[in-house]
Amino acid sequence: MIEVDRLCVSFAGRGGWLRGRPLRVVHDVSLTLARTEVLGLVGESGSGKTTIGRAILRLLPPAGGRISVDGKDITTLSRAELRPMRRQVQMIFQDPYSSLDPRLTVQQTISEAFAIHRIGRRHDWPERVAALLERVGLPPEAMRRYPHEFSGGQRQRIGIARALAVEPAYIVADEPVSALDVSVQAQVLNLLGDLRKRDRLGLLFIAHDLAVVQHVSDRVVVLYMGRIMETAPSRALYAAPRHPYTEALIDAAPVPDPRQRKVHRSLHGEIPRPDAPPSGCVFRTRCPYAIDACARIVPALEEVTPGHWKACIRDDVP
Amino acid sequence: MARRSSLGRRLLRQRMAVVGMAVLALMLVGAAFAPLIAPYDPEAMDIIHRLSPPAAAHWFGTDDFGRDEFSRVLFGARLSMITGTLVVVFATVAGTVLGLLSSTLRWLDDLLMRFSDALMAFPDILLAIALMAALGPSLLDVVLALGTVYTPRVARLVRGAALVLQRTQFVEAAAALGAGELRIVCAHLLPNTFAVLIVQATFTFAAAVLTEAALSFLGAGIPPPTPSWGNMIAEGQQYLDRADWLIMAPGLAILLTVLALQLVGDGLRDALDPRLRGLT
Amino acid sequence: MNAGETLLEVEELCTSFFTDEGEAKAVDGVSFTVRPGETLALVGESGSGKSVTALSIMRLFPSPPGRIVGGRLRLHWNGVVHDLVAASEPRMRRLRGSAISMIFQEPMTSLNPLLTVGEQVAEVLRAHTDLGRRAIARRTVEMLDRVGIAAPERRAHDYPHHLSGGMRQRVMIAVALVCAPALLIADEPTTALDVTIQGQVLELMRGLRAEFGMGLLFITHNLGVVAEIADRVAVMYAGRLVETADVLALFDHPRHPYTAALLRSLPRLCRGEAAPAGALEAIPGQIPSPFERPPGCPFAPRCGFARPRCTETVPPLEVTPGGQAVRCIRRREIVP
Repeated sequence: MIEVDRLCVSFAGRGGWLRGRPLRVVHDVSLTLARTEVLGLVGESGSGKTTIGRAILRLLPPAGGRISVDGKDITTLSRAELRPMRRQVQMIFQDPYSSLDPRLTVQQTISEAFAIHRIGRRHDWPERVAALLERVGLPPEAMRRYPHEFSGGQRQRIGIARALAVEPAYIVADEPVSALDVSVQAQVLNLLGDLRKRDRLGLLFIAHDLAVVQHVSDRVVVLYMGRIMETAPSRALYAAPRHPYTEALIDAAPVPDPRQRKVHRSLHGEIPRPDAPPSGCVFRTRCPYAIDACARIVPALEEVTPGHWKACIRDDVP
Repeated sequence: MARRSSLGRRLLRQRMAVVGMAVLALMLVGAAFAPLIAPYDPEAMDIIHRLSPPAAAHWFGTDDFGRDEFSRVLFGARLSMITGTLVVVFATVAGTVLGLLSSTLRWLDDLLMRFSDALMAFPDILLAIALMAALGPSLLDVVLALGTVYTPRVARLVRGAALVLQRTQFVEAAAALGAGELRIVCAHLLPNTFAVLIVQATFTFAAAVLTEAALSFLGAGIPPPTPSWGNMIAEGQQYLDRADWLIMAPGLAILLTVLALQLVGDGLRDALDPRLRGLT
Repeated sequence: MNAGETLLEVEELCTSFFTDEGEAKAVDGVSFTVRPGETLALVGESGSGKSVTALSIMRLFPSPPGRIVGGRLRLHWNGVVHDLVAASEPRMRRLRGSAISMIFQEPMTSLNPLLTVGEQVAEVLRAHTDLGRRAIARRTVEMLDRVGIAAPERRAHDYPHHLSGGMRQRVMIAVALVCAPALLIADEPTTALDVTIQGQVLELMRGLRAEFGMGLLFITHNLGVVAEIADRVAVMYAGRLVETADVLALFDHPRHPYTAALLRSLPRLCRGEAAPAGALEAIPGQIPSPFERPPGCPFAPRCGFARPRCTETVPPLEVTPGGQAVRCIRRREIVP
């Protein structure tokens, strides 16, 4: 199990010599991910969902909190100490057009994993690569070709094969289908579903498309400005959201059915800048149910029903 | 997906670059085989036939010591090609190392970049003269001086390219796999900067040839009697009114070489640049 | 506006790009009409040619290497029929901004970072009207207000980087509509926006469309957005138009196998207690490259209903009297 406890991530402020104050983009986020489970991380820009994914992989340094993988605390480990952990947690990236080194063949890209972790013997590598390609639905001949010879969907499969090369227990998928054509998204989503079953993978699925997240996830975490607004089992979240932001997200998602055209109760206003968050509840500036108390109190996560948590001082909304 | 035409084919489609490559090939052949092709020893004097205009016996005429201009131009080509090559190697290696280090070590970055800003603030030729004054009048010193002059540009370029590359998702993916700094630099950063390095190398070559000629012309580079296009022009200056071929020959040689290099560099840049990503 | 009139007629448009790697037939047979006051959604994935179609109408594609190699583009404006394929560049410049306007996907790169927002709106007014400075300033503020920008007099002096994505998009809409064009082309205007902002911008566009009465050609790959905004839909695949229908008819009874397969492969947001079932119905294969299109019907290699004759010739586009169109030789035999 991956356990994230009150994670905080900051970015250095802008400016050269006169570095500004660090900007906190993730605030006290806690979550867990078990094997065979899919946890959806949903949010818009500034929600911190991508940052959380990268922090879990220690591609970014946490500014606070704890991350542990299968019981081992990896929060402050050095790069060398982290290497073994990279066999347990891997990542799939969003942009199929820049997540593969254009100068390396598919074989070289995937074999890099074997080289780093000294997996198998060098002359076995081509065989391993062929097996991985087969698992993601690509022919073995693909290994001799370069990324530009493949389509977006195929490149994404290659990225998945690369992540699988170290036989991880958990994968962080950062918007894995957002940059793909619609007709190809389903292919990759199905592939991820298969892999999760076959390899008993724990999957952290980061996305902004609610329909995709619902389809894939067992549980969902809804983020806004780096803070958790609501977390619940997938079914419960969509059927009966308990946070106004979740409701707004679900309402705003365009549905491919002209009869459900929205007489928009669009959320007004913009997402506030991260360096000037509203006092109290950060969502209050756009919340249709905000009251005076919302500006004074920072809502804590409360459990509404078992496994369903929300961060809102009002119990009667949405 | 899209068929990609090979680099060679794309380059050949740039007509000017082809012309440049042809001229360059000619220069290189002349330089390489100078000892075999040259009809005379470039330093052999023949006072009786001094300052004779171009004719069958001396294709480019003779200088004020009766030395054959054509042979001197050939050996001057040799000098220019060697100098150019060595300077390019020096500047590219030094610049690449410094640029990569800069991009990975923040504290070094500030130091190196300010230092190279200072160096680049001097006009190339002035800086070269200053360095030559400290060094000495030999080919090796010229290479050292010019190499130092052109290293900052390469370092800047490589640093810029490396900084961009470090933010790409494939480098992030390598880091996520557990790749160390060294592996990322060697396997990912370097190969993806080859394109800019090659283009820059041709321009550096051109600059080196030109600056070496300028140095030798001013007397701060290769001293006579070793023929360098620059010192040949210096010597020929005083005879401009009666023996203009003494300046024309080396002058045209410099012109053609530098122009050819620029054309090839432009062609390479056009052929390499947007195509790296293929057609989506 | 007369509902029966046509505003824009596109007939068998073909636009190709001639590159070192051969001829890319970006648009290879597209026909549709846009009526005044109507929203036509042009739907397609990458390689479908939808963006190039829009750029062809505006004659904004880079030429070389692009060229319109066939078809007709006719704009009915101010009682004159303008031939957009043959029109001279000066004539096109007069039409752009005043008769037809376009907004793009990435507001940060479509707005000039060196000019204030107000200046960019004013620029259009200066080019197409002869209003004085004060009148232009007034119209600029009015337009910014109309697109929902708060404190427009102050905001007019802001630069694009001061504004959020949603606000920049509103500015772009202001720039496009300030001279009240008859046709607005919107190329994926909400794709780069957050979903809650997307809702705002779509609502704004619907309102402005009703208020200005213009025709709207809305290009997108998102079928949810299509359902939100379109009156009619034209579906493109690999450079060709494959189906045109009213929006309700398209979603209820898609007649082309591609449209049907696309709709079936979408994950659907379920608000009830019933969770969505297992695997999605994916479309096998991938979209062909514009350099190497398969012979015959472009969708045949991926089509569940394909027969050998589908790869022999390109199916003709059959238009019914009601304005629906399908490009499929098996359309009478199958219910996709």
